[in-house]
Amino acid sequence: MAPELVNEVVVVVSEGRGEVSRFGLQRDILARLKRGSEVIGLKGRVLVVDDDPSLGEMLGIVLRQEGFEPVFVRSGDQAIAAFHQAKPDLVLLDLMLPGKDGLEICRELRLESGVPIVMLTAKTDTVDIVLGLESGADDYITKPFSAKELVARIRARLRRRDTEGAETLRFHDMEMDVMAHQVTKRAKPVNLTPLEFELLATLARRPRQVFTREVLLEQVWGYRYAGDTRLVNVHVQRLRAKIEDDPENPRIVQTVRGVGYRIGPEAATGEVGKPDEQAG
Amino acid sequence: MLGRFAPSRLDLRARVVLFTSLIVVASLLLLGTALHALLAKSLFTQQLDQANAEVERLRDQAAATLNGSADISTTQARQRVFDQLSSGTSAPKPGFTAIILVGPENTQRSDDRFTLESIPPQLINAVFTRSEIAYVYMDAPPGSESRRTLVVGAPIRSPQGDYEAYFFYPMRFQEQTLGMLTNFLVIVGVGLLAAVVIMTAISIGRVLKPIQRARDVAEAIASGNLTARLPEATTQDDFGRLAESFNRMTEALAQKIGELENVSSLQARFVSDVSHELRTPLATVRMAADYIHAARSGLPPDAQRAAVLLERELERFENLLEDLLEISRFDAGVIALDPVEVDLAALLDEVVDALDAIAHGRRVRVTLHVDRSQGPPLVAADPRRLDRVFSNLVKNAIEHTHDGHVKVGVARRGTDVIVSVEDEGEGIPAEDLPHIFERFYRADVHRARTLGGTGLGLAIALENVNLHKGSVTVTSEVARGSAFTVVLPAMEPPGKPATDDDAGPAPSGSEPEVVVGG
Repeated sequence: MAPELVNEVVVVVSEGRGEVSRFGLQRDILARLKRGSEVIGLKGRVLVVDDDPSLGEMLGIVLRQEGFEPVFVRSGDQAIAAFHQAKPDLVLLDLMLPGKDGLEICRELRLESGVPIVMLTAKTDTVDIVLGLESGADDYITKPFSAKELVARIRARLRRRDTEGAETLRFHDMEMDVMAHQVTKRAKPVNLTPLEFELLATLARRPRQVFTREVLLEQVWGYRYAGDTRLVNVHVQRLRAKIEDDPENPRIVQTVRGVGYRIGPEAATGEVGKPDEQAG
Repeated sequence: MLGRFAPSRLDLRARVVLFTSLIVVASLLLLGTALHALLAKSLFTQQLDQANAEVERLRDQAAATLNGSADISTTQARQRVFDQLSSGTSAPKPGFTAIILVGPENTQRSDDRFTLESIPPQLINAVFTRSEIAYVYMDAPPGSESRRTLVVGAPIRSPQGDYEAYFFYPMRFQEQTLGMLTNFLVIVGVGLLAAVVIMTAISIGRVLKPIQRARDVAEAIASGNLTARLPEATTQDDFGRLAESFNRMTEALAQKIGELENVSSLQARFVSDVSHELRTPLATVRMAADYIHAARSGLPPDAQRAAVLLERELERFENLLEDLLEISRFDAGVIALDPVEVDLAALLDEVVDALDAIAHGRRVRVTLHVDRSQGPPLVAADPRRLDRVFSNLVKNAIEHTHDGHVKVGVARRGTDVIVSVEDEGEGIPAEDLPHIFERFYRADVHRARTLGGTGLGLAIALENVNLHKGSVTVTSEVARGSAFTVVLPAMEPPGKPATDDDAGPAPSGSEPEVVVGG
């Protein structure tokens, strides 16, 4: 690959990523660009939102060494503005910040973007991590972490596993165009973050198969060893809130107690579904 | 009635009333008996005195009559005496109602119901043999006017022959009088008892009312309502003062509890703050150390070694910090268990698997034996905490064994699941055994810390097991090995509800028990 091409790709993909499923770039161009980025090991721009100057600087050293392009912001109040300006491919977000706190920033980012968000947290108390995930963070990493762990988390979130050729998944009243990263429910577009898209696609490629949380952690989040299964639980809830008619009583992404999740058979929907469901 | 209830099971009021009633009944019985006895005695004495006097007089008259009838036949004389004596029965105020006259030839009686045979022999003996006036009380024959009767016998001695006369005095008057007295005592007694019961119940109720109020308030406080207070005292008696001091005590209690809660939340907050404040610089240090470690080939030899030591000790420091924070969280009581169903066989399999490399390096064989004969080893638990507990125990076992065998077993036993970890290590001396779950206790201070424990592992394991309402025990024999046993309450396996049959087997094929739910 010629280095010139790489530079071009960096610019285009950086601007487009995270907005893909919303705006739907021309799919063939996008696919080619993404494949190119995988092949040449494209890293991308990372917005680091952290108030600790030493940690910020050290993160900068590590990220630059790994080929990422870090952008820093120290205060929560400036985070959203910095995001608009830098258009990062990924946000590293400290939960405890002066000014606007991490949870609030997370929620605001999710209102306008599906950009991958990895929380940096010094807290290990259950409720804080769950709150962060519920606010829209894709993954988290607990301080202190090693450079290797950090880079692995970031890579996992930036990685795209693209399938060869066009793939369209149909199940229940949903249709997924995997290449275009587009999802429709009863022909109406549904906004999913890249992570939610990948989670749904993973389940939908093998309908009726039950995926354990561990398998999903490996396939969707890229954890090679045991990860935190709460990641799966929280994101399944978020996904259901977007695609289910009644998230409290899900028909599409079903819980298989004691095992995991699956895309349920449509027969179940037909049997117990509401009469007006098809008319919808 | 009384025997069926243990006194302590009755409430206070019933007990006091019962006790008072018993005292009243006992006193009435005593009083009644005494009164009855006293009156009976005086009545009987009076009758006896009168009877004696009358009998004496009659005997003298009869003796005189006999003395003056030397000219007539014995039969006539006897008839005369009999008539004379029996005329007393029809006198205006008859003492006796019947007589029997025993003569030298014949016996004559005024009333067929009273026969000589019915008279007790000792009386006859006294009168006949000893020739004296004597008396006896006996049951009256059926149909008489009284139940008991007084019999007075008198010997009549004369030249015309020896006679004995027996006079029957019925005890109607005495019996009636005593009967009336008894009735009177019973009526008065029952009335008195009723009055006492009612009065006691009322007054005990009044006395108890403030105590019951105090009890209600105390119960309210005990169930967590620290603002409950007794109403302000209106009197300066004992109850008034009780209310006052009770309220003062509650006030002090509420204050102390408030302080303690404050301290507890402060500690929890402190732990959380320390955690955050330490972790951020540590994250920087960690990454810097990683960076230097990765780039150490370009450094002078001593600096290279320093980079390695820095990296290694940082690892230990992090582990120690994690353990300290964990134990602080236990101390602050901020750890809540959010249990899910855990199959200990699967969990232990993973634990043993993960430690395989360490075991292999020390030439230790680790085996897992699962006994499902009494059911699956399921528990309601936080799998990460249990993973930590058993990783710690198995790692310890491996660390203490050289070239040997570590046996891990799990079995369902009744309502428990029992996990055992046995090693063939050097064992723990008996004097150390009670202390090994203490923080930073090291059984052997000289022992090489090859696996870099923090000294908090077993203490945290114990806290984690306690959190799951389980227990952990250890037995050990020096030079033979140690055995740790963890007992956790078992969880009943869920039933197997039918699945959607059109779902077909899952392609992975590993999950036959599928339950679809919301």
